[in-house]
Parts: sequence; structure tokens; C-alpha cells
Amino acid sequence: MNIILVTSISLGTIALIAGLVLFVASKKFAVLENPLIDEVEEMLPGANCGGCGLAGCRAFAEAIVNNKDTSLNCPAADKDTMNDIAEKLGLQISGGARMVARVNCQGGHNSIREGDYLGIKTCAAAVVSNNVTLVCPHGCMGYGDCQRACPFDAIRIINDIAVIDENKCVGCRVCVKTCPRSLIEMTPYDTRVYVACNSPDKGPQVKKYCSVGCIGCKLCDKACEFDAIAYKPFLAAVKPDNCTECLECVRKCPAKTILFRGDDAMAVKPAASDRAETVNV
Amino acid sequence: MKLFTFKRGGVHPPENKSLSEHKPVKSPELPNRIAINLNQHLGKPARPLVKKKQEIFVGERIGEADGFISAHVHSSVAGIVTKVEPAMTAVGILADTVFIDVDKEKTAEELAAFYQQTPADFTQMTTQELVEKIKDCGIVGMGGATFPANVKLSPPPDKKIDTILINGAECEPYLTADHQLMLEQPDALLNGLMIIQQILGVQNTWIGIETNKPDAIQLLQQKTDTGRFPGIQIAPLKTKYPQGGEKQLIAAVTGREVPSGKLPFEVGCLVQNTGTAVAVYEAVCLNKPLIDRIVTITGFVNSPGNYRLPVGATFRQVIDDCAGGFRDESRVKTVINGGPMMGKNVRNLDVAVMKGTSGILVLSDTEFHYEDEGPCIRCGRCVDGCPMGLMPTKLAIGAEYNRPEDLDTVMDCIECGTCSYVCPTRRQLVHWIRLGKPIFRNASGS
Repeated sequence: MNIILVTSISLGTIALIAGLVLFVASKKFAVLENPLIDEVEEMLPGANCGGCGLAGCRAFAEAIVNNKDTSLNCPAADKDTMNDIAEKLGLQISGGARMVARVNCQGGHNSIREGDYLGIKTCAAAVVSNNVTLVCPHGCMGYGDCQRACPFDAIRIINDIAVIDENKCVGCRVCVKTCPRSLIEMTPYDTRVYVACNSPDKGPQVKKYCSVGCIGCKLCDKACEFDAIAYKPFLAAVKPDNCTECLECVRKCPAKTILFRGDDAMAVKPAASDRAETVNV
Repeated sequence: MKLFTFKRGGVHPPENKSLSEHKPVKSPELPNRIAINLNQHLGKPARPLVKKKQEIFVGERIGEADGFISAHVHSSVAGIVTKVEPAMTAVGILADTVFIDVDKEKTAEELAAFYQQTPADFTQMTTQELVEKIKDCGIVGMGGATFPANVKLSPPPDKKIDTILINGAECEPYLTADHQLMLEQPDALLNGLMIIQQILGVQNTWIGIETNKPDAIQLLQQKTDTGRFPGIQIAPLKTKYPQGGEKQLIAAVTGREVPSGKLPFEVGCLVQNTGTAVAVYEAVCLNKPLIDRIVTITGFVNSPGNYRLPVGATFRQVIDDCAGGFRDESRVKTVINGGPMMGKNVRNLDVAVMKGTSGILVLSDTEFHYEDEGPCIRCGRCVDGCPMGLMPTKLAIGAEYNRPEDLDTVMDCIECGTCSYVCPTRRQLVHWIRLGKPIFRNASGS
């Protein structure tokens, strides 16, 4: 009986003292944090993709609550979420146009491949080994580094080429940073015309390795009435601000390099049927 | 006989040198067309100097060195330039390439003229003149790394070089080009070394030769014993891969260790390949630019052997014309530029022989073996084998999972391939480590 009493009293005393110490410490060393940060973080998608340019969702919430920085925008959140956050903080968030990633290549099976590549099946490793089977030195190799990197599962490798589901893409830029050939570019979601080629080589050179590459013929530039084609030497690009989606360039392009993507044209099929089509690397 | 060797790691893969060993160097018939790449050296590619339809002669400079670490490129034939455009090279990158239609008679005449003249006396020339000549002739290291020789031979003035090492180890399996070169041109080799000694003002040269080439050791020993070549000694090396690696050779012969991230001149050494020494001799005494080289064509071909090939002949031409073609084209699995350990397979056979092509190896389905890589089983064989004392398994995993903190020693890797060779689960360790290098550079740079 005595032992139980001594034990419970001594342990009880220790617990009391420890509790007091903790209580004092929590009062004395308390970090005052704006409760809004937690609330804003709760509202964010929580992908920690880094698309806003900060370290993660927590950092974004801290920045927007503490600094009232209206230029910040979470690319992964939809308009409503951002409006809710703005309302909560009493801010006017401009947001800007929705940006999506687009792959500036449609080579894949249209492009010539040579030799065997038995190295590690990632794009970065293939580039390091200088042994890419794709003859085009600028095109998509299709080993799927972007597919593995995408935190939103918006990328599939179909016919040896990366295809982005624009409805799933939130514009976080992770794939843009991952692609060792810098093929993926952020473009406004609303401008649905773009040049799907990345090769600045001259026409005859491009013809040798790809049937859908930009040969720099300037036909699109001549066809466009709105000055919406920026023509770098031997590679066209669409100026989003000027484009009216008249699709004259899409019709004129002899190599079918300029693409028009309607809302569902790029939508990737459901996973099950997609597996068969995906070249698994 | 005292044998020199490096201490750490190393392997002894099957040599397979008997296919082409002791086959005298043959000069094949000239091809009709050749394609000379302008990036045949480490550093910046050369700038093209010729235009379409221009007539050129043997040894004419067609590419000019662009920058400090770069080298001139010369025409290996006489003929007419058909075009200058980017083309795929044997190292797998696109580079400006000069295509030439060959005038065979004129080429043969002009090539013979190089050897008919009396060799110039290099002892009368100043160091400046010698280095200038080597630069003009576009000499690069012919072991495979193709570092411009004139840059290597002008070390920073505060670094005193006291030992010159010549790599005649030829530790790569299959290759016999350097062996045959030592047997056939010992005088040119030794005179080339005298020139290098004169440039650096050093009288201490070691020629490292693996003991699987006893005849070469004996021949060069006899030559040096005559006393005509003061300062040159022979270092018999234990037959072990990678005995011919720059840092391994220094460790084997001098016992010195090159510090991490430093170049051999930090420990007073300079390493050159035997082929480079001969090229230096020919450049200085015969004014002959680096326009041909000895290449071992071996493996699954009808007549494997050693051939003196003009720079710019395509792989298909030389395999068909010199080596008698593939034994059975349908069974050929891969064609490698270089040896099996460090060489790289070529994407197609239209790529051209370059200054750094030491061998063309054709592997058939019986010799070529590929398995998908398995997981690391932590057996530590790669750690035991690594001649640089690294932990390839850790580096590979660091590269695979993008962990720069695990890649701190990655830049010391010489990519010799020992770890990939010994790995029981066929992990592609060298490839992972190669991928780890840019990851580490980016992480430590930013």
C-alpha cells in the first residue's frame, strides 16, 4: 500500500512540476502567428508544387497574409479559391490569365529514331549520355521525366511524346523546370493556337529528321492578318496578345506544325485505356 | 622485373586482344568521300575555314581553333569540298562537318611527300617554335579525351613539372593500336618524347607498358639502353584495368596522388599517350598535321586488325573496305567507338573516324549481353573495384533520387566503367554517376 502511495505521489509531483514548466514555457516563448495563415493554407490546394515561386503552400500563405502582396497568385488554385482568399484578407488579387504548360514538340512517331538506347530510361540520363535515339536534337525524347515530375498527374507519354491534359494542368511549372531540353513552355490557356516545334534548324535539316517540324517557310507569317506570328529565324511562334484564333495559319502550315487545341482536344483518356497506348518507359 | 601498379581497386576483364594483336598496320584504299568533323577535340569546336566547291590539299587547315582550349582541324585528303553542314559525330553530338570529294591520286602523292622529306632537327628549335608547331598541326591527346596537346605542354609557370609519363598501357580490352604503334614506330615515339622533354626542360620520362605486351617492353628497353634517348625509362605495369588512367598511371609509377579536383601538374606530372608522342614527332619533324591515326577494328568483322585511317572516313567505309565487312550483319548488336569499357556505341555507321577514335569494336549477339538493371544489393563489389576509392553505389543512388548531398565526391569519378562491369545486378552505375555530375554542379553552383 505504502509503495503505491509513494509512487503515485512522487510521479504526480513530477508531472505537476513538468506541467508547470511547460505552461510557463508556452506562455513565455509563444510565437504569435496570424491565425489567418493557417486558414489561408487550409484553403490552398496543398500540392507544394512551388508554382508561385515560393517554397510551398505554407510559404505562400505567410507571404500573402503578412506582406499583403497582391501580385502573388497560386497557379494551382482556381479562380474561386483565389477570390475567397482575397475576400478573407480584404485584398484585390488580379491573378492574371490562366497559364498552362504546352509541349513544343509533336515529334514522337513522326520523328526519325536511330540506333538503340539501352541506358537509364530517363530523359536527363539520355541527354547526359549523348546517345539519344531521337535524331532531332531539340525534340521530345519521350522517356517521361515530366510525367513523373508532374504533381497533378496531367502528363502522359503517348506515342513517345509528352502530352499535357490542359484541364488538369494548373501551370505550376514543375515540368518546365524538369525537361532537360526545355521543350515545355507556359502559354495562356485562352490562346489555343501554338507552334508545336522547338527546332531552330533550317528547313532541309528539319525535313531529314521530322515530318511535323517547323521548316521556317514563313507561310504562316504571310497568312496572318493580325501580326500574330513572331518569326525567329527558321522557327515560328504565336504572339498570344495578337492572336484572334482565325486559324488561317493552322490551315496554311504545310507541315501541320501549328496546332489549335480546343477544350477537349488534348484531354487524356481515362487511365485504364490509356495504359495500353502509353509507351511504358 | 619490378612491376608498377596502382593500389586501389581495379579489375581484369577478359582481354580479347588476340583478334588483332601483332597484325601489322595497314593503310586502306582511300574512300571516295570523307566527312571531317570540326569538334574533334575537347573544348570549343573549330571554326570552318573552307567553302563549298573550294579545292583543298592534304593537310590544309579547314577548321581554325576557336578559343584557348580548342585545336585546328586539317584535311586528310586532297579534293573538293562538297558542303559544310552540321552532321552527327561519333561522340553523339551534331557538329559542323566538312564533306570532301577525294582526289585519290593527288592525295596519295601528297601523303607520300610527308615521309620522303628529311626530318627536321628539332634540337635546334626553341620551345616557343616547338609548341607553335604542335598547335599549328592540331595535335590533341590521342588516348580518347582529345585534350589539345599544346595547352597541356604549356603548364602554368608556377607549376614545375618533373616527370613525364607516357601511357602505353592500353588497358582497354580488344584494343591493340598503341601496342602495334610501339612495335612499328619506336624511333618516332622516342623522338617525340625527346621533343616533349625539350619543351618542358625535363629529363625524366617513364613509358608505362602493361606486361601483356612483353615484346613492346623489350623493344623499347633495347632502344633506350643504347643511350641515344637520355632520360627515358620503361615502367612495366601490372596488367590491370584501368592502369592507363591518368591518375592511376601517376600513382603506379611515381606513387603520387593527384588531389581531388586538381590536374596532374599539381603533383609535377604530365601524362601523354604514345599516339600523341608520335603525332608530336611527325608534326615537328615532318610538318605533318594530325590527319590520320592508327585504329583497331576488331570484334565481329571478317579481318580484324590495326589500320592507319584518315580522319573523316566513315565507320561503314572502314568496316567494309578495311576489315572485310561484318561477319554476319544480322547478328551485329552494336558498334562501339573506342573500347568496350569506356567506349560509346554509335547511333549509325555514317559517323566518321575522329582524332580520338582508338578503336572500332563490333559486338555480335554472343558477346553483347544486356540485362535490365536490378536493385542494389549492397554487396560492395563496386566499392572494392573503384580505382578512385569512391562509393559508386552511394553516388548512383544519390543521382537516382536527386540528392546532391550524397554526390559530394562525384566529380572525382573518371568514368572508367569498373563499377558497372563488376555489378552483379547489372546496375548502370557509370551512367547514373554521369547523370549525378550535372545534378551536383547545379546544386553547388546555385
